Amino acid sequence: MHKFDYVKARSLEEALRALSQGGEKACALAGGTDLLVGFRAEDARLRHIELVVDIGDLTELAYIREENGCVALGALTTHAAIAESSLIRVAAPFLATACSQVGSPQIRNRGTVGGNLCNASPAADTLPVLVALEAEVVLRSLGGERRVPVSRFVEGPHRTGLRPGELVTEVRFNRPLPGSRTCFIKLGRRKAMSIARLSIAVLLRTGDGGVVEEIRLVPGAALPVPARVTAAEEILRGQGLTVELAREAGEKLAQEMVRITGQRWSTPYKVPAIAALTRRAILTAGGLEDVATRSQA
Amino acid sequence: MEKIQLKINGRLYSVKVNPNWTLLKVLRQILGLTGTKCGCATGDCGACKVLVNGEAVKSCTLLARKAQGKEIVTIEGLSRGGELHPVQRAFIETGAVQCGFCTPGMIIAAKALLDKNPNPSREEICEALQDNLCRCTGYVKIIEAVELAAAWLKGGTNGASGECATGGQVVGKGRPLRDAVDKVTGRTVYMADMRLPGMLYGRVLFSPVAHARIKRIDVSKAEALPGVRAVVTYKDSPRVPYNSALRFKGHDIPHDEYIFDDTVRYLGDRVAAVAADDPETAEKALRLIEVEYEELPAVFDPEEALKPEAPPVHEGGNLIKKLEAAAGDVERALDGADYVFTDRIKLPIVTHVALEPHASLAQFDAAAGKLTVWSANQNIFATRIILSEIFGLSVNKVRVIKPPVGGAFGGKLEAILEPVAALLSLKSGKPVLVEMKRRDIMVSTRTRHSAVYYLKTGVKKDGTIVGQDITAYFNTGAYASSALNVPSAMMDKAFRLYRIPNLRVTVYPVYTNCPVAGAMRGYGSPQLMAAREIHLDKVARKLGLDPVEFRRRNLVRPGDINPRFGTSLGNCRVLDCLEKGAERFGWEAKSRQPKGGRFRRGIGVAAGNHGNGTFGVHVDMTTVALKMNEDGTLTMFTGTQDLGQGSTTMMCMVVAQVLGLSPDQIEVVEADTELTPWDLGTYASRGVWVSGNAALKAAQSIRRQLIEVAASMLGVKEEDLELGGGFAYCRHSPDKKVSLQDIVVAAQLSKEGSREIRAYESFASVAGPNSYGVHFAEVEVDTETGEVKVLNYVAVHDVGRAINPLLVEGQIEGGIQMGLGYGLTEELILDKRSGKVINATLKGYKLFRAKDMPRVEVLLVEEGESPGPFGAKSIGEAATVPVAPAVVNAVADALGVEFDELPVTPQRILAKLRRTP
Ligand SMILES: Cc1cc2nc3c(=O)[nH]c(=O)nc-3n(C[C@H](O)[C@H](O)[C@H](O)COP(=O)(O)OP(=O)(O)OC[C@H]3O[C@@H](n4cnc5c(N)ncnc54)[C@H](O)[C@@H]3O)c2cc1C
Ligand code: FES
Ligand code: FES
Repeated sequence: MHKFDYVKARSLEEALRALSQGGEKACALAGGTDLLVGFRAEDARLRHIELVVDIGDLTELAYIREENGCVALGALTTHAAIAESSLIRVAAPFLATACSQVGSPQIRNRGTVGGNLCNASPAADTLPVLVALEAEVVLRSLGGERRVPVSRFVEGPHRTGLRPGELVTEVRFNRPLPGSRTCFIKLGRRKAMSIARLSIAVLLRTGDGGVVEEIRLVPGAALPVPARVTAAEEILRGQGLTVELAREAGEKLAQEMVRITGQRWSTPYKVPAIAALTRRAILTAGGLEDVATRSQA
Repeated sequence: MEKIQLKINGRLYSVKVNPNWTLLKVLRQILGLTGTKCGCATGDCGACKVLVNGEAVKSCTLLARKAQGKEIVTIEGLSRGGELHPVQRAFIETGAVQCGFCTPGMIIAAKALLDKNPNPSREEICEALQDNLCRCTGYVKIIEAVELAAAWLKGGTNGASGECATGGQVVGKGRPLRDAVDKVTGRTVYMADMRLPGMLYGRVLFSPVAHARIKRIDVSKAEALPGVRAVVTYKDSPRVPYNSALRFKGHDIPHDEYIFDDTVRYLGDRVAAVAADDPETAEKALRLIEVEYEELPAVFDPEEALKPEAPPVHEGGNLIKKLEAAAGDVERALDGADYVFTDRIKLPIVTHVALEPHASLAQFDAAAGKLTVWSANQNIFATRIILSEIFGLSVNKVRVIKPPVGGAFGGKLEAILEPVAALLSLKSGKPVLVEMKRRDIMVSTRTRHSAVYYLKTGVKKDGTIVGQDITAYFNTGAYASSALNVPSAMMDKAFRLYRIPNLRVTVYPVYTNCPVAGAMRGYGSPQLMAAREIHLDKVARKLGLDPVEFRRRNLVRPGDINPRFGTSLGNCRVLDCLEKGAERFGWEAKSRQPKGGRFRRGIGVAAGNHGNGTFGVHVDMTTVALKMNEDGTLTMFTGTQDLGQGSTTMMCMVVAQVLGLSPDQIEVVEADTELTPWDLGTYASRGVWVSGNAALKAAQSIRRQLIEVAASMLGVKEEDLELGGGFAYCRHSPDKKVSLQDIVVAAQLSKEGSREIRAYESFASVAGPNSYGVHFAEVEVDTETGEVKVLNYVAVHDVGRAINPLLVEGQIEGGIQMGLGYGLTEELILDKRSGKVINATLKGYKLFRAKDMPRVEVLLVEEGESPGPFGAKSIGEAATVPVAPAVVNAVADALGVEFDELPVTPQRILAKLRRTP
């Protein structure tokens, strides 16, 4: 396996110093669920790494709290902690859902939200949800702190705006307005029998008379960078939610995916799947019955 | 290097580690705790799980440094003071252990679950095991084991039972593997667990291009790297061609492969190899080998490869040899048929994925001129011939030994790494252990032949088949390997399932620049049955006939005559399988269920058959030696290679039954070309049929000798004596008896001609009937995502007689897991331009996991097949034959569409649905 040096940081300060010294050739190690696999598989993206800075013991970076309507997650918060958090379950239930479906129990106990973000896999489950929440990443380096929206932080598959010497310390988002309903659905990818890793995050708020006031639709593993699909959102905004509109929005979203990514071998199959997934998620968030439900128990 | 402390199994270890070392590496390589297995090193198989502060963690994904200060428990730490943990005991008792390679990781995962959740549901068990792969058991008995352990733990018992008296009925009673205790405790020493003093680590460089001549190869930088002891390329390789699938001396098959050649013929072909002091150095050295390729045109499709303009993979063109088998007059039959239906069905490249990676250890003793090779291998005697021919050594100077094998399924039948390891040892003068990475195993060992089938079936209005014409193109890849044997075996099976008086099968085995196809469980039968059973289902539906009824009208009956050879098909009980299964499955009721909505249910059935050994094709012989010991115990010597399926357990049971012993009283010396008698190899489902019979023959010889001596000791007639409970006794007055140990000692010390009670018996097969199975599947398809859930599964098999029902069930359940993958998920996908396998990982290649498995019910038809020992016949391969078509037919039934390409993935399902709104 790949050779590298390893330091265990005992404080944030120490971690930042080590990362800054290592520069381009250094990276952080949180839960290690992505990084170690990458090293073992001799991932080309990691070939230049010579120093690994273990931040796994910085417990001060593992927290979930709310301040002035803003929910903040420390970068080292595990998927399991998020899935079980009563705050998240109430404030952004689809984030809890997404985290509860990551990998296996063991992976959820070790994998962190910061790692999920920084690894920026097209299939990372928290990404579409965080984008739908319009979350921000808090980045620290010896030079100071900056904040970047998640939607800009992720620049492409496995590419982020993380600069040498920087660490993600927190992810934060404004608590969605009361009355917001959310839904996250993914195709079971750890099962043998599933297509790609498509998922969809929906945040929906209806006003008086059931008119859709706010709608955010973010597909996962469908676009090069997770993003809201506004063309599909338009179909619903200002309208009363119906099964037909949800279907239309789903199809629009699928068309947009094709427009942005072009035709690939998998496209003909992804299209109907993401369209259906989106329709279902919108209807679930909106509390409507899907027409195409199970014929028998 | 840095010193860290690890607390493992309650003991504190101080070790020097590199920062990049994983816990797995430290456990296995530094501390020698090899009970923890490595099946992938990339977090995909779960074989390496250990407990870290009570959580089951894949130790290949955890840095050793990060494990400091934590409580680590490995499989070795589970059984304190020799007392097995209830989970371990439950794995043994339920038959959840076969090859045992997944077992330590499974047990650890189960233990972590039960510590936290003493009352897990089936779903929770599957969830906890979802990232633990097993290729042998279909997870059925593993899930049962966890349930049983939970019950024991709740009840405060540890499941220890006081059974096992000697004697009594042995054959027909379920019995765990004889080496199960070693496997659940991590004591089994597999290939990669072996160490010899001064041993080097070998790694192989594989070609990055599909077809090329090597213009220049420069190994000087690799050789200069400190720690590198030998580098070998085609320049060092003896110019002796061989066929890795050789079965016996003089076997007439194309010899087209070299250890290394100056031409590479597929992306993944061997280019060079390195031996170094440690694995890391060997891997680094591979990257320092400079190779310049002159690329040649390549072809990946078997039908394309037959066109005149296709680039030849070997001199002489891409068709290896047209094969044909026929009975009756096919043209006339099809002309006279009421209807003729045709189909083209395409089958994928799949691969074995035995959990244990391929590995071989070679030691060349230059002074003695002797080569010893340990290898995870299914055919040590043929490998010995191959090595002796390549290196020009006399056969008695080559010794091949098979340690316990972690699953094989045909993938370890051929000599792949053994010649490389030998060459490295020859050049370095040291023992060399060559191991392969999972990625390379999936590409550069062997695969199942992909194929394209053209089928044409003539039927009468009532559904009677009158004639059938089958043509298939078999993609054998870059080397011939089993290019002739697999299609020939396949053709033979075609004549033994349905009453088709006019039948012709034509096969074109074709070279391409694809990974090499070879033996894989079923040896052609899964291909034939997948294509034909899917085709016949379409025929039945077009005739408006129920698929079960259609088969009922056409399946062979006991005593039917094989139209090709005019010989009897034996006691072929496939119709019994059909009836028994349809009843248990509830076919009638289920076929009346309405269909509609997003989730649609469907049912499918398929029949299949496979052989018992190689009778009629070539030699099929083995020898078993037995020696009685002074205390009445026995030692058996057999060249049979147990791969975890339990063949030596079965042989012990046969011997024990004849001699009135307990199988525990028999020790086995297995699979060593120097110590054990000759065997043809573990393939062709010949274990029970041939080795079982040899064991029976040898045991009967021992029995005669024991009775002869006993008769003179007791002064009675031989025919009045019986063996049982460790004694020879008088049938009429059982008190008149003498113990086996006294007999043995008496024979040894006899003044009239002292002798050893021993037998050395060869058995050559005398017939080749088939084993049959009929499978039933019920699925639910999500029409939105294309996902299939297999809900219920019933498998019925005609096994003659089950010597060990527990292991027979285990074979069938494992065969179902493999077949479901063939039907629904598994495929090595080749990039059409480069010929690169794009999903050569356990993430990209989708195996059925515990979660994906349906409820499986196994039923046996035990009507006896007379030449088999106690009427038994094979199951190993037959088990996987009917699976894929059964489940694909069920999906087709659910959706009312037809499929003509496997696997039926969600992608293909959605594509079909979009065409039929
Ligand atoms: C078997 C398996 C199944 C999985 N299933 C899923 C799944 O279903 N869904 C899913 O989304 N993911 C899944 N994953 C991926 C993985 O578990 C997640 O991406 C996890 O959240 C990564 O977190 P980590 O702490 O382990 O990251 P690490 O592996 O420690 O790090 C990942 C990357 O992020 C960088 N990094 C980590 N933390 C920081 C930080 N604070 N600041 C700067 N850089 C940082 C590292 O340098 C590295 O490049 C799976 C992984 C495995 C092995
Ligand atoms: S060896 Fe660790 S998961 Fe396969
Ligand atoms: S017993 Fe599970 S892989 Fe062999």
